[in-house]
Amino acid sequence: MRGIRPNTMIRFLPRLLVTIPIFLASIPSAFAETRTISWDPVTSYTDGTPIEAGKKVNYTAYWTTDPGLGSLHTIGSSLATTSTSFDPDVQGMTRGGTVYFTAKAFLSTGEVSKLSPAYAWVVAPATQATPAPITPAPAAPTSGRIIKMK
Amino acid sequence: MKRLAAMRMLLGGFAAALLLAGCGGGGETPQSQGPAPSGPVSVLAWTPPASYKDNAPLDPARDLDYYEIYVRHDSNFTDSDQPVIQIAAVAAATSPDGRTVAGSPVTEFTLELIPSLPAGNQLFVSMRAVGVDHQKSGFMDPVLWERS
Repeated sequence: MRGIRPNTMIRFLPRLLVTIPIFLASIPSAFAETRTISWDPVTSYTDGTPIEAGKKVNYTAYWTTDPGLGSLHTIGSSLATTSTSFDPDVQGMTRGGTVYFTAKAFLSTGEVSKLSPAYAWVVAPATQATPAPITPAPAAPTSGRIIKMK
Repeated sequence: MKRLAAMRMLLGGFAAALLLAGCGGGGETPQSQGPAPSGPVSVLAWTPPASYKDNAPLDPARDLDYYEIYVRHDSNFTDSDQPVIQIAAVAAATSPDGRTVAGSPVTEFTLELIPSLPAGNQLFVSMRAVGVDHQKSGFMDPVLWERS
């Protein structure tokens, strides 16, 4: 097996991440709008062979407005986790526009996958800050009268 | 903002004293507004509002900051009128132990303490309540003041 493994890796690693489902969620925050993308962990090669124990898998997540996945912007790189958070405004995403997420997996031994299929997302409109409640005006005093006093 | 009302209430008491001092005399309670004017006096009395305009309940001792008193020759008070005096909505009152300071809503004011009044024997008086958030009420129904 050991003699075959390098060839197998060469043949299959370029398609390591044939599918890497990406999910989007929002995390309420008092200070910024935070979104989280997550994906399934990569545990095997495309031929079904499990990735060897001891090899670490890291990920880099990107976004782009190009459905062909050109001009990638990095959201997070060398991530040991299977999710990362971002602020659409900080990333420069246009509200109401469509962006595409993709990711790559990197093995600690240097192998790199292809980009995952794009996950499209329409950037949500900005969250409106809730205005502070305005206290209404008091009602007018009533029963006004003038009392003559000596 | 309403949570600041307790502090504003205490400050309002100080403001009352300062305002009254500016009118010719200091005072500790609404009933002792400085040296009494000689002769009969006219005391304007009123009932403080117990609600906001949206009918939400209002605590005068907590939610009001001061009143504005207006005087005119006629009863047509408008938003462009200027108050002749402001008086604190809450008067500080020292408890029997002499330590704690409680506030009680001000409900009357001696009109002769107003430093500058229009001439004439018949005047109309109105007032507005101002909340701790600086929102002003409408005018109270005018009251005829026969000065003679």
